[in-house]
Amino acid sequence: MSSSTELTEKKVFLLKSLDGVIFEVEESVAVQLEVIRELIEGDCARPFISLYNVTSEILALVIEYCKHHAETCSGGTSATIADEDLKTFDNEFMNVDENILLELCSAADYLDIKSLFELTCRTLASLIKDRTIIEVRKMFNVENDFSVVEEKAVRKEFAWAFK
Amino acid sequence: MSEDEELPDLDGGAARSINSTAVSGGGGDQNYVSPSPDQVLENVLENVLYFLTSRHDRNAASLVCKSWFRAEALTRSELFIGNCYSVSPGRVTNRFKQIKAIAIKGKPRFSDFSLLPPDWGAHFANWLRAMAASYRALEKVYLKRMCVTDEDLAITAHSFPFLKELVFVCCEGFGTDGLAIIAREC
Repeated sequence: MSSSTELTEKKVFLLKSLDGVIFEVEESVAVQLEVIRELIEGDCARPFISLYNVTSEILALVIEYCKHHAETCSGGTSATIADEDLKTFDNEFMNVDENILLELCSAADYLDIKSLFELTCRTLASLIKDRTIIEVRKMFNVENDFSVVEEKAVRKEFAWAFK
Repeated sequence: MSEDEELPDLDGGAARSINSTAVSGGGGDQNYVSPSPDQVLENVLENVLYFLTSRHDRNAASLVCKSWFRAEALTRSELFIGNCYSVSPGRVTNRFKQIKAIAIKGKPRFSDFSLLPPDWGAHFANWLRAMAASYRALEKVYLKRMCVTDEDLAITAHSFPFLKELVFVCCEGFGTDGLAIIAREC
């Protein structure tokens, strides 16, 4: 953990969500957002940063994720315990409905948080796994734009070729 | 307003942004309409499908809608052709662009009991031509009951610089000359 002298120097950033809510985060959390880390490294980071594509509901979750990861990694615990802890946290963190999951995934992509992006993509893939086509369409509200003939042609190919 | 003038705004870039509506002042954009889940998913779909590995799930994903069909085709790295005559090689290379491992089955099983004429077909050459032109990154080839010539082996050795694994099961038509080229070049 940081010493008292470091505490006084600790940089804080204000992140503004799309809907105007402002979040205060420490530098150790902010740098987990690759877009912000690049700004800091390029000496372009201002203390107040607007994030256009993330709502406050999602930004709060993203910050919770980054905070936990930043604290666990700098907590002085051994690598294996930290890994276990993060795994448990990630599993619980992913226990949200698919719409939130999608928005988290999209935010992680936009903010360039690699670990969260991979985690959400992996979780979304596990939701698709073992589902029927109709279930997947329903889950993500996707409209089937294949014509009957086109769908039949794709299905026919599977029967022989790509089964 | 003044605070916004000095903000390093992260507008995400056109390709990635779902909605690049600008926020003005401190109040946020009241007109913001959340993109629908299918729109959001479409932006990240290819990355999601990378984690979908089983053929069964991938085939189902490609039937969800046309954009899923395209994303699935772009992200499939392993291909299994259950019968070499069931689909044309050109059709396969047109649809799937990133194949790293391919398995092709040729003659039916009863060819093991000499129940097929000797020149029945199942030539690897037709597939090889299409693969050599499209699948430079190919790492693994598995062939079963196919006809493979020494020339095919030479083309294989020269066409796939990243080839790591070549498996022939019940294949015929090649000799030690072809195998020597593989041993030398790969």
